[in-house]
Amino acid sequence: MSYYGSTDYLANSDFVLRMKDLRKGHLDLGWMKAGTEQIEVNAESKRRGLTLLDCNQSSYGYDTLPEIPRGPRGAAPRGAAYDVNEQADLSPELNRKSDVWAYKVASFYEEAMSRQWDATTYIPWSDLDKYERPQEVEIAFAQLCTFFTEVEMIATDLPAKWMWRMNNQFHEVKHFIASQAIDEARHAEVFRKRVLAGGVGLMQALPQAEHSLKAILDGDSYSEASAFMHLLAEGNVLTMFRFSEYISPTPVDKRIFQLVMQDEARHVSYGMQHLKWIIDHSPERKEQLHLALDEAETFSISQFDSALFEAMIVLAGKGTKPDQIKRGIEVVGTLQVKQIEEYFGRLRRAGFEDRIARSKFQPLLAMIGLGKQDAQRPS
Amino acid sequence: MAYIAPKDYSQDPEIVARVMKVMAGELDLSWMRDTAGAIHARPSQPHYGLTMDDINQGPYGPDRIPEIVRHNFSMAPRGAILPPGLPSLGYRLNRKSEVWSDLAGRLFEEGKSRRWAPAHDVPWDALETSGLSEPQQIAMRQLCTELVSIGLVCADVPARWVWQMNQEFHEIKYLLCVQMIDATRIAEAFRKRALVGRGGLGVDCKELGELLKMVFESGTYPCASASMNLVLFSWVQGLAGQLGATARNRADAYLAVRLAQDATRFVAYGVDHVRQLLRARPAEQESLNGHLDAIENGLVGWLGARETIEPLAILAGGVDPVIRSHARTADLHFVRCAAAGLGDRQGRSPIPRFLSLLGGHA
Repeated sequence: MSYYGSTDYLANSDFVLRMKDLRKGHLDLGWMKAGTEQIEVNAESKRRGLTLLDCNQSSYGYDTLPEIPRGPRGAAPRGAAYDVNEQADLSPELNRKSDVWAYKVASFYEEAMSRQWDATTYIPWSDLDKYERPQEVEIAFAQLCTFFTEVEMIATDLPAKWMWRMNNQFHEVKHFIASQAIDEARHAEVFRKRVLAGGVGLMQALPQAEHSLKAILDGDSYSEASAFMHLLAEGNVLTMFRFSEYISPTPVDKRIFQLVMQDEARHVSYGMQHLKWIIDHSPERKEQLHLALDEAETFSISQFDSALFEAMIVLAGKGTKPDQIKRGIEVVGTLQVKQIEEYFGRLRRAGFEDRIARSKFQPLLAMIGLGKQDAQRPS
Repeated sequence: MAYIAPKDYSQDPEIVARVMKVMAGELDLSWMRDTAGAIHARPSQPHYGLTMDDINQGPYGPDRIPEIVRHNFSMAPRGAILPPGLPSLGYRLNRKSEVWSDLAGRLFEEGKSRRWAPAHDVPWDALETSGLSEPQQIAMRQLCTELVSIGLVCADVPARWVWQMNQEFHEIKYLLCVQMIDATRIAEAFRKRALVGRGGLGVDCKELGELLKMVFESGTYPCASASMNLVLFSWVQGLAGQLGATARNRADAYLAVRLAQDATRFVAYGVDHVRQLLRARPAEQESLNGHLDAIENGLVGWLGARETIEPLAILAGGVDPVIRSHARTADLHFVRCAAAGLGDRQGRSPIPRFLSLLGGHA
C-alpha cells in the first residue's frame, strides 16, 4: 500500500562515496546554478505587507500559468527548476487550471490569513450570564447551533477531499482551501461551545440536512461539488447567519455571527469566482454544472427538517405564544425567499444566469405561493 | 452525481404540504422536549477563554468515545441526539486508537492562539540589509525552495485523511485543519522569503521529493502520521534550529522561530498519537517500525542530498556544524520514538550509520 522510494541510500555506492567526500569538505555546488529567474519582489502596500499578489511575476506568477501546466507533477514549487523525468510523481488528478481556479483567489487567501480569529478568546463567553433568555428561546437557539455545528465541517471535509489531488502548480487555490478548512473547524468549534455554554446542551441531528451533506461529499468532480457547497449550501448558510445575527438572543451571539459571516462570505465568493472562471474559460462544462445543480437544488428542497424550521420560527418570534409564532413565520418566510433570491443573484454575478429559469426552486416557489411579491418583510 | 436523491423533491407535494402546514402556524415543537444533557460550560481560567477542555464534560467529552465507533457515521456532532434516518457518510477511520491523542484539543487551541500571517508579521524590510553574502543568499533560497515543497505536501497529508475520519473525533479533525494551515503557511512564508528583494527559487531536490512521496503515500493513517509528525517534522524542527542559529537579520530569525514553534506542534501530536495507538494496540509496533525504517531511509537521502547539505554548510560555515546539528536532532528523535513506545530505534534506523559516514554520531 505504501511507496518506499527507489533507492536504498546506504547500499548505494555513489551516495556513500559522496558522503565521504563531503566529510573532506568537497562540495559540488551545482545547485547554485539553478537557472531560475531572478525577479524584484517588494510589498506594494506597507500596510498589507508582502502578499501573494506581490509575488505574481513572470514564471513565479499565476497570471502566466497556462490552462494545462505540462510537466510538473511533484512537490517542486512553481518557478523552481526541476527535471521532468527525475521528479517524484505525486500523481495529481486535477491538472487543469479551470478545474480549480477562481478570480481573486490569492486575495481571498491573504484576507483569510489577516482575519484569523479565535473562538476561545474573541467571544466574551462569561458575558452570557449577564443576559436573561427565556428557556424556550435558549432551546431553539441550541437547536440552531446544533445544526450549524453539524453542517460546518462539510466545508472542511469536501475541499480537503480534493485538495491533495490538485497539482502543486495551483498553490494559491490549495492555500485558500487550507484557510477554509481552519475557518470551518473554527465555526464548528464556536457553535459547539455556544451550545454547551448555554445551559441546554446539544439537540437533534437533522437527517434531511445529512443527506445533502452526503451528496456534497460524493460530488463527481471538484467543480460540481464546489458549485453545490460554496455557491448553494454555504450561500444558504450565509443568509442564515445574517438572519441569525438579526434574531440573536444576546450581544455575545451577535458577535459570533459577525465573525463567522466574514469567513463564510469569502468562501461563497470563492465558489462564485470559480464558477465564473469556468464559464469564461471552459464554457463546454456548463451543462455538466447544470446537471449537478439540478440535483443539488433537489437536495436543498428536501432539506426541510421541522426541528430546524420551527426553531428559527421560535427564535424569530422570540417565543411560542401564538402571536410570537405568527411573527416568527413572517420573518422565516422572508428568509426562505431571501435565500433563493441571493442564490439567483450569485448565479447572475457568476455569469450563469440561464440557470435561474431552469432552477428547481422556481416550481417550488410557485407551489407554495412564496414569490417575491408575496413575501411579507418584517419591519 | 454519485449520490442521487430518491425523488425529485421540487415536484413533491408532501414537502409542500409540510412546509405549508408550518407556515400556517401548526407547529409540532416536540423537538423542544429532548436535549442530550444540559451543561453550563464556562472558562475555567478566564484569561484563557473557553477552551476545548472546558466544554468536554459529561456526554460531550471524548472519554465516552468507544474504541470502535459503531453508532454514528453521519456528521452529527458528538453527543447530539441521533434520530432515525441519518445516512452514512462513508468514514474509513472509525477506531479511536487510529487517530487519537489526548493532546489534540490543547494543540488545536495553541495553534489558533499562535497564528501568524507572513504578509505582515514577518519584518520583510529587515532583508534590505540581510547580512548575507551572495553565496549565502543563494543557499538560503535553496533551503527556502525545499521548505516550500515540504509545506505543500504536508498540507496535503492531513487533507488526504481528515475527510475520512468519523466526526466523533472532532478534536483530531480540528487539529488536522490547524496542520493544513500551518503547513500552508510554511509554503507561503518561505516562498516569499525566496522571492523577496531580488530573489528567485532554487532547484527541486529529487531526494526530498522521494521522501515527501513516501510520507504522502503512506498506506494507513497511523503510518502517515508517524512519518510526517514524528519523523519529518523532527527534522523540520532541527532545520529551524539551524536556520535560527545562522540567521543574520530579524526576518530570518523570526521565520526560524515560527517554523520551530509550528513544527513542535506536529511533533507533539505525532509522539502522543503513536504512544496512545501502541498502548491500545501494541501489536502495531512492528508494522510502524518497519514503515519508519523505510521513511528514515528516505530521510537520509534528503539530508545527504547536495541541494540540502551544501547550502546548510554554506550558511553554517562548514559541514561539521551541520553534522553536529543533525546528531542532536537524531538524539532527540530517538528519545521521542522510545517515548512513543516504538522501543530503541537506533539499532535498526539508517540514521546513525548515515551520521557515522559523515563522521558524526547520534
